[in-house]
Amino acid sequence: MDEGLEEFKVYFEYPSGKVLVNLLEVLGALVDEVLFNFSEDGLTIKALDPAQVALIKIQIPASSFLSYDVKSALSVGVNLSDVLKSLPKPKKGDKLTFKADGSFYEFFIESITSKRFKYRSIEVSSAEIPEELNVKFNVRASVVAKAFKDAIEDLKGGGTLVFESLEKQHLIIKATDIKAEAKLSLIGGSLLELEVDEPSKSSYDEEYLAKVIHLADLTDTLKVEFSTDSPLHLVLTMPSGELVEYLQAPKA
Amino acid sequence: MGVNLKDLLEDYGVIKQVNDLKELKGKVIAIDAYNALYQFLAAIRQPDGTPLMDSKGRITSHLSGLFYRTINLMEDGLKPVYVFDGKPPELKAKELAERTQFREEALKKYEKAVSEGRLDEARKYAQATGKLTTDMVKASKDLLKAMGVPYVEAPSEGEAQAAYMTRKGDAWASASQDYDSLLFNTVRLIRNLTISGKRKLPGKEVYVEIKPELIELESLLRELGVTREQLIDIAIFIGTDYNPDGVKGVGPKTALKLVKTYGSFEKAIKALPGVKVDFNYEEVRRIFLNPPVTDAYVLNWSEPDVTKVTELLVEEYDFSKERVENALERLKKAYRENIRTSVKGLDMWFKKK
Repeated sequence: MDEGLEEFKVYFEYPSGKVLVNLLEVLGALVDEVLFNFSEDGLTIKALDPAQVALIKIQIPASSFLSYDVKSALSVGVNLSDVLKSLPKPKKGDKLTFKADGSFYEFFIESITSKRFKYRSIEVSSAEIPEELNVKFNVRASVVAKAFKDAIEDLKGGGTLVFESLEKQHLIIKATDIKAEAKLSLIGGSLLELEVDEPSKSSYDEEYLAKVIHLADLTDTLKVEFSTDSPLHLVLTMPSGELVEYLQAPKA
Repeated sequence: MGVNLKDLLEDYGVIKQVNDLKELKGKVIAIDAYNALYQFLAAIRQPDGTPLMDSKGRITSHLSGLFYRTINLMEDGLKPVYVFDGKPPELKAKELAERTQFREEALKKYEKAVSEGRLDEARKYAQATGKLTTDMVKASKDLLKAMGVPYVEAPSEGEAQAAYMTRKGDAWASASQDYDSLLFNTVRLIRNLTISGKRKLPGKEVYVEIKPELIELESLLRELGVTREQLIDIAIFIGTDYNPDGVKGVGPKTALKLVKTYGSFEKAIKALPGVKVDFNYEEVRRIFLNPPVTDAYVLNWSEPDVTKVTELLVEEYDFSKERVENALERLKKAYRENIRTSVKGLDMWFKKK
């Protein structure tokens, strides 16, 4: 590591370049630019798509990194379009190192051959992304991530996806355009837990969900929460402590 | 034509490109109807410049553009509302007379180019000959009504009414090619909305990708370091529809400098020896600051009336039945998916600070 940025304000080594790039790809499907916010606790990234329909929040605690050195809190403006165009997709087991000095940032992928990619930080408007949700989720399910991903992908092109859980056995996802549905059930094993305070039904734009469903590759289980005519809330907790939250506005 | 602020806005980097119209999903956009119809009239033509016509020789380019482009916008989730001009301000008479003369000259050049077989040039001149008649405007309104798309009758300038609707919160942005919307106090202006896509450069075999542009008035004023009143004064220097010639020798950059230095148009003029002002700048300023607008409108999108659209386009104006039917299917889907069940933004689900 004797090339590239000599001085740095932020330095981290992340065990799986593949996972990090996967997260960047999901972010890149919603926004072109994003702020990496570093503090001594870890890295936080929040992205609200321009239509304000979908919000992603990623928190990677300092303990999830192999090495994490932040001299002082720093926000790095990342042009995701540029990064995703040039950064090669790391293979399983490739370690990823990141450095930033305030003006530039670089990714370093350690594989059979090591690759370094340096970019200039950009100004990203830190428009207020709201923090505190004002929603009670009446349906709270823990689902097998692969089963959820398959369900969404099987309903591709469905236009509107209607999530409904009318009793405490099933979570049904209906695609209105193609008249198809996927059923996740406790008996079948695709649902691990299901709490239903009130029977609920809410519609969501399939295009948005399809863009972010690869998040399900990062974990074995995920939480799916919604209420009637309320946002859809997906929560993924990864084994090493990373937390990804996805919120999508309903269709009226 | 409107005031030309293009260079100034580019220099100050206040034009944001909209890469994907889906970014505007769920947003109500108040479209300057005459501006859009003239764009369709200019752009939708045969290779020699002849506009689309029905079997009776009536021009239909505007209807074609209005129908297909509106469907495209609704498929991307936008909620369009068209705003039609009312009576123009008296000060616009000179500009309107010049436009008529320009069209007449273009028509002569077009006919000459056709007779000499210069088709590329003919097309270029033909694009400038289009004139919207009362019948064409009425057919456009009938089409919008049948499509279930609302329109608003402005008492005077459509751009002023559209701007007013953004201020009331009834529309998210106004859409026009003219920068005058900014002078009329629109919150946001979208340009190239109805002409985005691949376009052929006039007289060349070169195609360019035209993308919509978004300009926010607040950030424009902040970047230029002026008030809205001063922006109007800058426009008066450059020339507007109500004083088309502006002040001779003063371009956008000089106008900005003068207004920032002296504070206002009249103070700047006093400081410039030998400058002649042969128009009523106070009246021009008044038109932009206090234009006639109305609250008498209802924004209501409804299920398209397939029978009425078919009667109008296929039976009355000889459009292809198959193409219209296919487009109507897309329109019905867009209405069902994006308008009737529009996606609300996430902000309403967060606690207000």
